[in-house]
Amino acid sequence: MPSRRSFFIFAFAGLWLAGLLGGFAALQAYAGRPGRIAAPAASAQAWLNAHRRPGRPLLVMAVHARCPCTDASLAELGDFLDRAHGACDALLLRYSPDRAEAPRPGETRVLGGVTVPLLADPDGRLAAELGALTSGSAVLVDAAGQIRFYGGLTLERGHRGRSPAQDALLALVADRHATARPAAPVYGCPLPSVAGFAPEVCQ
Amino acid sequence: MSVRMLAGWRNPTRFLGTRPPLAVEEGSRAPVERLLESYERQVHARANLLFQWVLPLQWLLAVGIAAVFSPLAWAGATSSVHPHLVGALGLGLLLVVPPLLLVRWYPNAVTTRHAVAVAQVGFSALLIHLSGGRIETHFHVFGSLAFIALYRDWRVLVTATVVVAVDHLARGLWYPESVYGVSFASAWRTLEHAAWVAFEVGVLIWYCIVSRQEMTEICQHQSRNEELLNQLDHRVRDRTLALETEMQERMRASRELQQSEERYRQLITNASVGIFETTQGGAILFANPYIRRCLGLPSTGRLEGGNETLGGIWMGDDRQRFWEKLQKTGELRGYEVRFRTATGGTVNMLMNVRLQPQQPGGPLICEGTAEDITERVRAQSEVEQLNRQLLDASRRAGMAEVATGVLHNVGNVLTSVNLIVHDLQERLHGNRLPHLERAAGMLQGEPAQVAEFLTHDETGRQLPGFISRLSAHFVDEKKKFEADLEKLAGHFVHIRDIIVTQQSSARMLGMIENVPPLLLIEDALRLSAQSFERHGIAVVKDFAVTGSVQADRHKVLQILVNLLRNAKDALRECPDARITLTIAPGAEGFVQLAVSDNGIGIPAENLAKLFQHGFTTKPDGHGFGLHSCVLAAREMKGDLAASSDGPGCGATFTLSLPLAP
Repeated sequence: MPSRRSFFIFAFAGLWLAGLLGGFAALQAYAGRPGRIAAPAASAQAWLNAHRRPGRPLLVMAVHARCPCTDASLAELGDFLDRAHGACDALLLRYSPDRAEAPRPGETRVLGGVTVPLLADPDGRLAAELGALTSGSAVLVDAAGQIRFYGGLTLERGHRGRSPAQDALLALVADRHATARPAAPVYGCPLPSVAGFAPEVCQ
Repeated sequence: MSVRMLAGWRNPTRFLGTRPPLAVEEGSRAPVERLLESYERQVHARANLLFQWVLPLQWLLAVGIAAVFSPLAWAGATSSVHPHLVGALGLGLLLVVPPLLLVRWYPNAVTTRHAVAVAQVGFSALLIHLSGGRIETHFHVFGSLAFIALYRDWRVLVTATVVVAVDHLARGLWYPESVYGVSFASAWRTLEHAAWVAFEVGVLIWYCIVSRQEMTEICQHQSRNEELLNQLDHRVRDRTLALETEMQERMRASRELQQSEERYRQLITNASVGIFETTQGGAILFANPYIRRCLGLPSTGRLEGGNETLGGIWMGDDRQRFWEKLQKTGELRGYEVRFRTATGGTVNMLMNVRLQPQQPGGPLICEGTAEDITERVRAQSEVEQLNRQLLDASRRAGMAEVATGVLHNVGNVLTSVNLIVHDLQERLHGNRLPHLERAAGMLQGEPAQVAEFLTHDETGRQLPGFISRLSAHFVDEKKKFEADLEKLAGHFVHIRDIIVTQQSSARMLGMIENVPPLLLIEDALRLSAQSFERHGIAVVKDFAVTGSVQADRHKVLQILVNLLRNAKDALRECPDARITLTIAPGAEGFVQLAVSDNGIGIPAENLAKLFQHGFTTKPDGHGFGLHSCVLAAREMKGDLAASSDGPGCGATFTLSLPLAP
């Protein structure tokens, strides 16, 4: 029979380990919980084609300037662009709660060796039109001007790492006949809701 | 891998190049285990102290990372605290507080170490998560294991490894992207991570085992060192105690020495004897006040100089003779010398001197004591003179004694002679010669008438018978005369013998000669025999020595005659008067001549005073006889002693004389 002290020790150790497991599980649960995503609106097609260079695919990513997961999303975008070897253009829509942080006209950012223009999305309307309800959401239109992909590039919130979505994007860029992969899970902070604009939420 | 390395791998201590653990003796096992436990406590305490800082610092690091990289979670324009920050705070607190409480409450419990290990690898998991699964953060796991190895307890490493393995396995299965950064991780990847961890843990466990062996070895050495140290400590303590005792003894001895020196100084200063130290050259190195006073030297200060200043105290070649004798014997006892004082007088001194060992190249030095015997010498001189006078008087008295004895004996003989002569005179006066003359006148005339007268006269007829009887009478008278004359001749011979004896003794007066003691006794007895005979004293002789003694015959005769007369006096009125003369061996080299009597004896109180001058128990005595006898005996290097068992028990006088060689 274990002594009273041993009992308390084991009980204490059990509670402690349980607390630790619970804490880590909560963190993991938060990290692995995807955000909302919606299909791009029909009006988004024209906007995308307007910003796409003729004959080249374009990947547009909407990000929240203050979201801690944005860095991971941009890193994965850079990785994708690097792996695409210039076969795809990119465009960043950046929402910032503070308008003073809005990108200046003509501001660019180099990701994966590709110069990516930054566009301000002061009220998140453009993102909402693209169906990007969560920071890190991306939309790909191919060289023909067809939306072939939308969703996130990361595997967890703030976690870097090559994801299946990235592989799918590369396949779509390389082969215009590849199967489109819409509604990939996106991990990030929610972008602002736009009044009067309620896209169809996929997740 | 070489064979040597393989061997080293099987034996980690050998691999490290250290000596294998020494065998622990049975008697020292307990101390070694105690030391090892103490050593492990120190190791655990150091590791605990490290983790007391490291765990909180990691907590702060986790919170810092969360605060910097993910402080807020945004929803459009609104924000809230990011779950990472909450997780860093909450989980960090949970990882830090319980182990630290255990460290505080149970610092040496193995549970504490396991808890610390779990917390440490927990921080690895937390930091990996907070850093977004960065592969670089995984290095924290290896650092954590190294830190945990500081406990030098391989069991704790196992616990940490199990936690890491379970964490990676679980995450690899369900959330591979959280630990590997990919959405799908094969089992091989988990195994790869586990292999690296196992690699490090294996090395660390091996290190822990080796370290513990080294600790054991160190403890064994330390145990021996402590034992040696204890022995040394005991020895030091004992030696210290001995030294303290010795110091106390020395201090006490020093005090006693000082007191002794002071006493010595006082003794020397106040001594009634001179103490000095002088060189052969005459320099006085030391002289106490007594000797300075005697020699008229300054009472204080150094006595500088030698022959010039102090050599003058010696007379003639006294100093040369003194040093020659001293160098010959090394020591002089009772050496008498006369010094000339600085004041012009003289002083007689009796010295006891010893020659000091001569230092190489140094002068001859002697030390000793000197006593002023000037007064004693003067008194001794007077005593000697008195003794000489006394001896002279004694000799004369002895001679008188002998002469008296001689005269007494001669007188006795002369009395006999006188009686014989008186008897002869009386007989001559009353002899019958006139009757013969008258008878002859009757026969003168004519023959016829003579015949007529003879035949017819009554008277004439009786005359022949008368003549015949007268003739017989004369014959008888002649015989008596002849007898008396023979007696007279004998008496005269006796007188002549006495005188011859006295003369022969007197001739040897003052001359020591070898003489048989028997002869001395017989001579003395001859002088006294007449008296003994007259007083009816029996003489018993017990002579056991036939050798000779060295003696002055006259003195011995004087002593013996004195003793015999005293014995005769002591036997007066004794019914069974007896004198025993004994000759027997005495002390070594001596012969004892004893005169014993069974007379009135001597009271004990008188025995001690018997030989004092003037002491006598006789009404007509002058107390000179025995005193002169003992002086005479000592003059011959002999002695005279008296013994008596008391009044009525007789007395014995024993004359000891040296045997002739």
